[in-house]
Amino acid sequence: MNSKHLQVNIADVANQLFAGKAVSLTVPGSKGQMQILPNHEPLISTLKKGEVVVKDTDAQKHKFEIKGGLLEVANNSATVLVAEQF
Amino acid sequence: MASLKQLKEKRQSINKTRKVTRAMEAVSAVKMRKSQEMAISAKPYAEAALRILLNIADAESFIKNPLVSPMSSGKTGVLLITSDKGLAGSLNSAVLKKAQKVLSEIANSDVVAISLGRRGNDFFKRKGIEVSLYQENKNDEVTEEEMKTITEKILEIHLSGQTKEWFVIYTNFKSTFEQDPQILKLFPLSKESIQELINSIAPEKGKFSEPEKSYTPSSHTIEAETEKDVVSFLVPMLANIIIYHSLLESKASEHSARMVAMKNATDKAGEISHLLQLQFNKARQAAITREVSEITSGIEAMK
Repeated sequence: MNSKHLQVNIADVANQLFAGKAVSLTVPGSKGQMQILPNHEPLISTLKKGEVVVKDTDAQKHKFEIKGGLLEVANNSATVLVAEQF
Repeated sequence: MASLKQLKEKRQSINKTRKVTRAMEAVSAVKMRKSQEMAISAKPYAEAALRILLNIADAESFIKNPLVSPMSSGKTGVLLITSDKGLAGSLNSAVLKKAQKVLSEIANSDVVAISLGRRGNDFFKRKGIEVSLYQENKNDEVTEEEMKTITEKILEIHLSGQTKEWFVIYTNFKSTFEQDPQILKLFPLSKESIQELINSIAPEKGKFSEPEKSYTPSSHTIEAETEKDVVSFLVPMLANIIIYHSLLESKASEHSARMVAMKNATDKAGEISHLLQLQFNKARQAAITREVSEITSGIEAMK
């Protein structure tokens, strides 16, 4: 299953902040910044304070400041759960 | 038979009541919509968190987490979510009945109670159970922050080893006309209870319902050092989500129950008002007939 796009969902407890297709996703992982591209292997990681950047299919960048959170990548979709504390 | 004046006044007062109940119905309808929307916008987050947790539920650090591993002895914790105000049909009594059922099997001294909403608090008081934390359920726009006080209290009590299990008793919103009181086991957390939660998150019918989705668990790479972090991050967070979600469900239920109750009251008031109008007309007609016959008999007598 090869795909050019990555389904990205970013949500905090009350709202969905971003949902859509993206070319890349950059997150501040607790072990260092990382970039997720389409067809990434399944992964779960915690996130630290920093900036989440989503590059959508029109090469437009969406930025979100987070204080911490969790990242899950599976089946070509990435989910970022934003949380207040870590 | 009541006098004309009495009937008239009674009808007027019923009409006023009808206006009030109708206004309350409209207000509840708007509030219901809002709470439903809130519950829905919180859904993706809850779903994702549950899904992630489900995927790592077999990990060793998950099973060993103090919030997951079952405890053999301790008290039973109960978080009771009710509304602050009445006039919502059988909503609160249904929740309290459920609570009663749980509590009847446990001695009062073995209960650790937290109440969210005045009705629940009164219930505990009546039963003579000490309430560890009481929060009003007034605000319609609940924030996650407010929930944290409750979650933290529960975690504090549970982690100190006082309790062996925790239940959340709340009203599950199924549809505008159907709300179910429900008992949810919060701690100890298990794979089954997570699965159950995923299924219970979406309303069954109505605007926001969705067909049931199935999740295919896949094996994830978790960096060995962070696995523990992920678990110790997710489990307390999940508790917060569950409580937040139960509250949103209860809110939506409260408003729809009130809306339906007020609709019934409005309909009934209309009916009574109509009956009184008929009675009033009859009484007036009777009075007129009586007067006419008095006059005619007076004329007869004068002849």
